[in-house]
Amino acid sequence: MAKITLTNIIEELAARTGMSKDAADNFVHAIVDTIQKGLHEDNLVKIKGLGTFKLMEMSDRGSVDINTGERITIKGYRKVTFTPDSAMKEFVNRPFAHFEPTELNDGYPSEEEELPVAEETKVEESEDSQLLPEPIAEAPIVEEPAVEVPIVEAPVTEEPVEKESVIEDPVAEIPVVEPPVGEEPIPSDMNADEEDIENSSAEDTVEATMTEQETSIVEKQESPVSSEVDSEDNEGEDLQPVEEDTAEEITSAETEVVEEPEHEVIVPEPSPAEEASEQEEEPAVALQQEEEPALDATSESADTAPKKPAKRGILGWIVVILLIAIAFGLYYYKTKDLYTQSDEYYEKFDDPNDIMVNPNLREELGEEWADEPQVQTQLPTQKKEEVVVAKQEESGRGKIAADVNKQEAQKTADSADKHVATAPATDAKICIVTLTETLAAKDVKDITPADTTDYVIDGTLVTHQLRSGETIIQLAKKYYGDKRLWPYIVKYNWMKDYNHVAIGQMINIPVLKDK
Amino acid sequence: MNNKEFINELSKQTNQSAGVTTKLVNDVIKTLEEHFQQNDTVVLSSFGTFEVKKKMERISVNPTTGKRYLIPPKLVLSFKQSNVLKDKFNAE
Repeated sequence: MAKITLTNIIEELAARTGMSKDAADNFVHAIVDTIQKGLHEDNLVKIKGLGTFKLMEMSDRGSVDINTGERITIKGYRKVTFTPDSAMKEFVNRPFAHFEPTELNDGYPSEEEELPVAEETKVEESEDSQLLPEPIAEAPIVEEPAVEVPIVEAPVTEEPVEKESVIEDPVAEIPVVEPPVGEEPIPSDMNADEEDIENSSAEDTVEATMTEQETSIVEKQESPVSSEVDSEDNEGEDLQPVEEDTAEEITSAETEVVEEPEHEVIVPEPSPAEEASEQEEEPAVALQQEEEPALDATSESADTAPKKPAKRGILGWIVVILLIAIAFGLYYYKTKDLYTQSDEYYEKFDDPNDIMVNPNLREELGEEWADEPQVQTQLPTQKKEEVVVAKQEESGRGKIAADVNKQEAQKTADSADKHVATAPATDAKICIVTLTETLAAKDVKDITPADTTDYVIDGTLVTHQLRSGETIIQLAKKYYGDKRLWPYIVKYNWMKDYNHVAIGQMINIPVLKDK
Repeated sequence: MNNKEFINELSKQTNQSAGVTTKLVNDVIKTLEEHFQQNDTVVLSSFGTFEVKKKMERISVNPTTGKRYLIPPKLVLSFKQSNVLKDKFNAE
């Protein structure tokens, strides 16, 4: 840091080269004179290894006298500037040469960064939603025994409770059925398959109720005309896939806003699966016991029965898989719109409450619906087919067969009721609560954009001279990557608002710091 | 005036060959460099001052992409002309 003068340089040069001090003195002065001469001649002197001296013409400029405050003009003059050449530059900067400019990504999310994040969440959703149907599909297998258990072991205790809830069901179902009616055509392929299964189950229940007369209120409503039951069932079938779509759309909406509900939605699924798995072993034994007497009871159906269950099992699985596939197709198709036109999405459904009810019921119905075919295919199928086969051969005979099997048939009817009963009554409420929470959260987010309160102004980043066509909002986008942050610039420059700017105006861009 | 012209002119003034002049000029530059390395301020009276200045690190924004970069600190050789030199060129 010492101050080195010309004489120091001369001494060192003399020592270095071995020449006399006078000679060194002369030489150094000759260099300085030559540089000045060169500057006089063509305003520029290039010295290899040192740099370039240039004579620059400085124009007049206005200023203010510090003492008097008067405007004065500093007259233009010529100035010798020096630019070190690259070798000298690198040499001087050697201590810091290892530093390199690094990109910063702190605090100020740009839109480029936000978009991929949204896509990631999309992917996550899809993964999660893919997970959703699987447990549903798997759960029924496990669940059936769980359902069967009370039938075999203690049907008396549970029945009354469930029947009460059964009465509530239709009420809950009806509003659900209405909205998706417009979208029904989707699962039309399935209907044929579904109808077969449903018809059989419906007939079973009808037969059972007709013969026994110990029917519940709900069963009476269904029993008079079997076709009505079929149609209702079919509608129910239609409704479920569609609901899956809507529900998945909404779950996607949830994930946009809040991620928690996702988990909440998922939560109810594992629990029945676990319960089921606990009870799995016992009922399995009970099932076999139940099936055997059933087979023995009707010798006619014994021939045909063993083949059909296998077919139905495969059929049920195919139906489940196809429905899930369609649901996903629709889900992806809808989510495209959802991100861009969420408003339109809500316009489709006049009453948001419908949406709120649907997805959750879908969840439950999805399980329930997945349960039914399983129940039909594996456990009670044999009994039902006994009835069906008998019916096909002779209606009167079939009734007799049904009478013979009436106890078992009633049990299947009860089990079907239980499916309907347990699910919506309990879980639907929970799901509605979660949905309302998410909707509320979304509202809050809309109202308070994250632009005004997240940062504190901390000094000046740069001073920007406004050019033609630039706006403060553009500056915010340019410097922060987020146009919503313009209020900070306005505030920092004491502007009235972002419209009161002039071309050439100097705008101080504040440094924003996270609170 | 480029380097070649400068050396020729200098050799004329000092009555030495261009080769010797080049070597001597390089010696002078090396001497200067040694001082620059030690952060010394070299004052050539009647000409100007060479000084090594430290530029602090700063944050710069790429205007087109909006990305922010941390520019590391660096040492820069600066030159300020002396008043004598200024007066010489602004005498008129």
